[in-house]
Amino acid sequence: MKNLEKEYKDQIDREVPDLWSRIEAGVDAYEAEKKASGTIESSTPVTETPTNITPICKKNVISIITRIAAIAACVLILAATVKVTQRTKSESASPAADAAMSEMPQNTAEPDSIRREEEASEAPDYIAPIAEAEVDEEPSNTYKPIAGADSDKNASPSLSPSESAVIKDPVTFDDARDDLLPQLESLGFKLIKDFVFEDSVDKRSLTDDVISDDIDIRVASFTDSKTSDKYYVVYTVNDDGAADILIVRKADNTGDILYTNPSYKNK
Amino acid sequence: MTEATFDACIQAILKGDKQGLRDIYDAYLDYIYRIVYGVVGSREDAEDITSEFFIKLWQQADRYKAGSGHKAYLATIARNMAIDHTRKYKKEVLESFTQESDDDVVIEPVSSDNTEAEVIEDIAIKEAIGKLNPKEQQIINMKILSEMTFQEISDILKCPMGTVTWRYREAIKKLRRYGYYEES
Repeated sequence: MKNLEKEYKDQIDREVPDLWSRIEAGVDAYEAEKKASGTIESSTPVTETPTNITPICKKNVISIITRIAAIAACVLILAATVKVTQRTKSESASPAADAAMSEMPQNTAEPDSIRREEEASEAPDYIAPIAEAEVDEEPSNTYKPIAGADSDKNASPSLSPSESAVIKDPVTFDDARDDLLPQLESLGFKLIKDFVFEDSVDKRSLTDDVISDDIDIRVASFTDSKTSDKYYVVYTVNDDGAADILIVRKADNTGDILYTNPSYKNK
Repeated sequence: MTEATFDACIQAILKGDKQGLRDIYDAYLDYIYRIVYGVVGSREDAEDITSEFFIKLWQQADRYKAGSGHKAYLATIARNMAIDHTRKYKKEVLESFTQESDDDVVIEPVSSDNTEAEVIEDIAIKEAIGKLNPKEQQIINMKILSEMTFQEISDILKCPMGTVTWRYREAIKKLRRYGYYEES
């Protein structure tokens, strides 16, 4: 018969590994930390009685925090998705925008009638008012979103940089004017002056239901420098951020429609 | 190691001399490891806790009161660290003792006839211990390796002391059949 206690203790003693290197490394790390912090605090004191630890409670707290974080992440993702979806819906209301531009006669070369202000002194008479308008009437020509109709456009500042790089949204009327003048010229309007943004007219009354209601429309006007006839230009901003002419009509009592963009017509 | 020697080692530690810790390590590594192993029952955990024990001894050497019985002091700290570890990471082990069913209480009966005293198989101690059920192993480990009283084991396992002593006796009977006796 063998002594149980002696045999068992001896057996365990034979299995004891050399832990000195680990202990020494731990001591060195502690000393380095103590030097760095300048304190002699210890993280967990050695106690002569077992501390009352409730691992279940800790696990619950961690679990709750994890769940809250997961829910918050889901809400953020959902909010971002809804926002992008709403924006995409509103901008996709003019699906034929690209087709309209392609169907409209284009004049890719810069026409004489839309030279920049630095060339105003050399420009023909009819372009001078435009140049002046760019310089002097900047504040009044600044694009002002109309309540309701342009609400989605107002959301553009909250877009992320990557989104705003994809969707070019003209903020000012000047941006739209750069797109509209060549189109007007291609339609035969060459003697344009006083080309300004109209923010006081009833926009929808100018469309005569020719244009779909779900298209976001804006209105500008200009005067023929030769005949002094005034015209309204109903336009929209397509998915690429470029302005497309929808309707050109006289601003007098007749209200004759001189041009309708076939790509935006009511089906 | 005498009390005076141990006190000198603590003084060396307080001065930042690692040799003081090394001397305690050389004298008590086996003892501490055995106590810890008796509670946690795992070599890996026992190594971790034993290492941590000596590091904490270095960190909190100033808390030791000279002449207060260093061996009991070391054993108490080692035991408590092991118990804390078990409560943290092995709660299910402790719970298994508190959720006993009637089936758990009925352990493989050991005959009380004359064959009880016979050695039926001469095997190594590790193998013999391995033939006990886990609950018996834990009580044997705590009693023999960690040198705990039945009351301490009962408190830790949250199990009636009568059950602890009964299990211990059953385990001793089984071990006797493998050639091991308990020195009373």
